Amino acid sequence: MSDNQLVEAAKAGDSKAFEELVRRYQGMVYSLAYRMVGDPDNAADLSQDAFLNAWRGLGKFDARSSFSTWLYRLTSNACIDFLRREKRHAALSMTVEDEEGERQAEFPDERYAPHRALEKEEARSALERALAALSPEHRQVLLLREAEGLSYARIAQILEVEEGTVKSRLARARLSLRDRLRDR
Amino acid sequence: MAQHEEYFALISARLDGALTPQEEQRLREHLAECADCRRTAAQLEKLHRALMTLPPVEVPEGLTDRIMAAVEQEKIVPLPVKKTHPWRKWLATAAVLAVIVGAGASVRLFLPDRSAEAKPESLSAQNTEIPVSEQGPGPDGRSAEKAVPAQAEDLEEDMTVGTAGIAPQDEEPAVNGSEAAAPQGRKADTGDAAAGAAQAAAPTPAPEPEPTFQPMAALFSVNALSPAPEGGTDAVDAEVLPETAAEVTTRASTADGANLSPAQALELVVARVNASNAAPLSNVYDQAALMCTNSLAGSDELVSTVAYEGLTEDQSAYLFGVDAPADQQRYSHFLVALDTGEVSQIQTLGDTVKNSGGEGQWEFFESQVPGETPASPEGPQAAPSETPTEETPDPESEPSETPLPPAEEALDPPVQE
Repeated sequence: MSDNQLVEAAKAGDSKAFEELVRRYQGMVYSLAYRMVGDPDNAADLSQDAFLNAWRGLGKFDARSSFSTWLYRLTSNACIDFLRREKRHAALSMTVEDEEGERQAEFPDERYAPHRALEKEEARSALERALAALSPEHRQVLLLREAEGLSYARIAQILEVEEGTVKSRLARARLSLRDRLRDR
Repeated sequence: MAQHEEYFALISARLDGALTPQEEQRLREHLAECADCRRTAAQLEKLHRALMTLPPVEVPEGLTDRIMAAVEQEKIVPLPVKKTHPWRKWLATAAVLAVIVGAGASVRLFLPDRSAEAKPESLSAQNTEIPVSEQGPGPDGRSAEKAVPAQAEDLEEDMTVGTAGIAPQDEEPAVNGSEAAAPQGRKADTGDAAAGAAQAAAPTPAPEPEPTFQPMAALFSVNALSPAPEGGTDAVDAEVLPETAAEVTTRASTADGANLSPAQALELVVARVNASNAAPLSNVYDQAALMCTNSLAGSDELVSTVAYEGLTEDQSAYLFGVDAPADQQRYSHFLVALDTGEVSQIQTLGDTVKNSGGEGQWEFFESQVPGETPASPEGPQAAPSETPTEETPDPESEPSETPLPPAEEALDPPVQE
């Protein structure tokens, strides 16, 4: 069954159809969530939230639209909201342990997902750590483009902004990422 | 170097193949003369390639199941929330049809085993822990169930006997977790709740409870509030609305055996909620149950209204949907017995269902608020298909044949099983 058919069925209350959609998209949703927030538990919670919001919002969703775009939006919004809430509690500095020993890494303007600090930092690449140090919005646009391979147009739809915004935000995100990596 | 920033954007866009030929040309010319930008271009190119090689993320086992479990619970559609619902308007609210469908034990009101055996023993003593249902679907570790110490002082009514299948007790509302399968199952899961259950069993001398609620396996058809809710099950025409709050309030509100006004009932609920760890509600009408998520709209927008309210079908209690501001996505529902003023909490949204494996499922169907809700023209007497649903032995089975479109329009009354 095509996505649209499944969506139609799900709209009518067919949870089995929705389950099939979940199976199809859980990878996409979860991997975005995981890369956004950095830990599996929150990623799973947020994935669930995204799908639940999809389920709840099916009534308003036009089955001819792209379900995946919508789902991306729900997922990334959930993640952004989560990170913003976390930021309120997060310390502005965190400790990074690397081969040079412990040091304080200051991220004065960047939000940082505190959970990431608890993850196996040693196993994470410098790239992933730098990614984690980006602001949620930068991380979001970068992941959608680089990790998910989405076009500017699609990203624009997901984020509900203009393509030009996507383009400039992406440029800034990349520069920011580069700066993070350079500062190690 | 604003000039270079412009080129940064081009450099970045080039990585995505998003340059026009003119832009491409301009960039190339600039790079030929700018070492800084060449360096930047090289760095971004390297990053770009590296990002494409992020390790794939493995989806954890059972994620689908977990999500679908939450979805199934969502089929117990939370009472819809109306935007900017002036408090007074809720008097005009049409009925909400609540149907218990579910496992065998569902004869009761989704509440702990009530039936006629209102035993004084099950009356809880003072300071019963009341788990406030703030848990939503599968929020592992995210929203915790909170035990709520009951506070007698808050309740002015003399809450003698709890009749509504809750731990009837002297003064404070408590959810009786003792024998109820559902709440019990849940309580088993949480230490706090266990205390509540234990305490709920403590005998307390009290007059023989007179069950206000008959085990309403059947429908809870909450009709438009009428000025005279005593009376039995006469269907109240939703069109007949109390003119003013005052009119309704004129009903006697003394403690013993008299009806509460909706306002008083609401105050009891607010008191109960305030007794919890949730953020206190300071203004009964403005803040009571204000932070309800319009979950049917699929958004987290805050909606300032009492979630839903109305009379139960047998006109014996008011039903309120409340939520704690701290957790915008969770509903708690309360029943306030009109004659005793007792507040009981309905376990909703997965709290009971999830943990007990299908003790009984509520289905709430939005019926017509005159002039407000789309769809469902049946009006408040939405489906008096009173099939006291007692069977439905399979807890997992879909509550009803009537599909519950996860939509925000009014849902059709279910076809009773």
